[in-house]
Amino acid sequence: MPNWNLLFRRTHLYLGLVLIPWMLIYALSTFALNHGEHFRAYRATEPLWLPLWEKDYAFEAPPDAAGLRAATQSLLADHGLSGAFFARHQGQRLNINVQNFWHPLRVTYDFTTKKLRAEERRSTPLDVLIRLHERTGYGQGGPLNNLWAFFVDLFSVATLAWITTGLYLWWKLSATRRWGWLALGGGVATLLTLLATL
Amino acid sequence: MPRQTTKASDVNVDDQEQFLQQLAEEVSWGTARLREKIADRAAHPLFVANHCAGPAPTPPLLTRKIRRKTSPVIPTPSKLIRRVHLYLALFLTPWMLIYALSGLVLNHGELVRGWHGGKFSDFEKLEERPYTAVFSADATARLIGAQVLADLGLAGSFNVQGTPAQPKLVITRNAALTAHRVTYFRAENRLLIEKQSLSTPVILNRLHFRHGYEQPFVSAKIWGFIVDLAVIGMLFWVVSGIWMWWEIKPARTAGAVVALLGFGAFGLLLATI
Repeated sequence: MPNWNLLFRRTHLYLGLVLIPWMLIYALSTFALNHGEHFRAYRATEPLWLPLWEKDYAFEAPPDAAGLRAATQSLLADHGLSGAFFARHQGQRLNINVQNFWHPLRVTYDFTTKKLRAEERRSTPLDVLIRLHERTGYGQGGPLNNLWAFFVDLFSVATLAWITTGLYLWWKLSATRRWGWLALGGGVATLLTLLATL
Repeated sequence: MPRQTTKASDVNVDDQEQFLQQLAEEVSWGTARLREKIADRAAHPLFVANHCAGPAPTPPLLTRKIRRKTSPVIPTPSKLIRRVHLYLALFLTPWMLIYALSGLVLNHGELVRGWHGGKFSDFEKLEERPYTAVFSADATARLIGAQVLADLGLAGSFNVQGTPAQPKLVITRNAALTAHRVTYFRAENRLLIEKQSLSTPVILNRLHFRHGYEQPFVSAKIWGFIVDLAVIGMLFWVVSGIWMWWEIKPARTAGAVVALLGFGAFGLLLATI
């Protein structure tokens, strides 16, 4: 018979310890976003994009999404660029956003002039923090990018585990039940009131 | 040797449970060092009462110890930290649930979009109607937006795109569970009213992204305050979690290893992607 109490306490604890950095970045960046007007001075200002280079380049965009992605990856590799990216074909332009916490790039190809242009986004430490908060998703290329997405999943699943194991551990402490019900009920009632009135 | 007995009423029930839980963990650890600790703990009144056949402390000392440890007025720092950790988490449970589930939706956006046919956040036309309100020349876009929404019976938090000088204003009314988009064609005295289709992922994401104190409505400001409370909660859970981890000696080594793994992985990713 497993000791469920010990198992839940340890799961609760170790998930918390391994995810401390993510807990801190989500908390601090949320505070900055929630008080955006006070933190605007700490964000990068115009011009946000600094030109790096411009080159002549011949590029044909494949019509399908998978082909476009593969061709874009080759284009980036030809110019010594790598990392997670999004590519979007809009009219006579191909817009490529190369993600990086510190130095995100924007690469633009103009099908009319056949020019390829690279720019780097200016960043402050607060911009980096918010980028850490906002980065999600698999399939952007490379195992490390998938590892980040895995940690985002782990954080979400861990939050569900903290809730489940926390409720169990609270229930086992009978002396805390009355105040616990008040706190939990107060939270649920507040949320429902806000959902009805927002 | 006779067993020393202690009246149940002398000992706080909460301390009994906490003591027994810690004891159970330590017994399961089962090392020589732990056995020494248990021997030290033999002086605890509950341990004496339930498990120990050895010599007990003298009654006056025992009484003083219980009174100090179980005072309902002045909790120990450890107990205070545990209780704040717990009650803050219980109050914020609904919000943490929203953030966890929406985190999964955002991290698997394409998959979730696929489940809903790729159109799960589209707006659908509700109606078009004439609108003949007259606004003064100095009316701001927000003022016009607020009046339009009030006339439609949709007053509440909203955003406006466009300026009063432009031929159309796009007013997005962001309620908790639904969103309306009202396009005001000023030159034509016409309104186009659309509503976003309802789905669980859209609702979760809308609640995830809601923040700030800029909207002039009490409920929106309370939501902003609870977002701040969640931030305080997360920071407190980190600090109090480290405190509680350090108090559980059997978990120190393993805890240090997983914490270092977390910091190591985070540092690697921060430096490389």
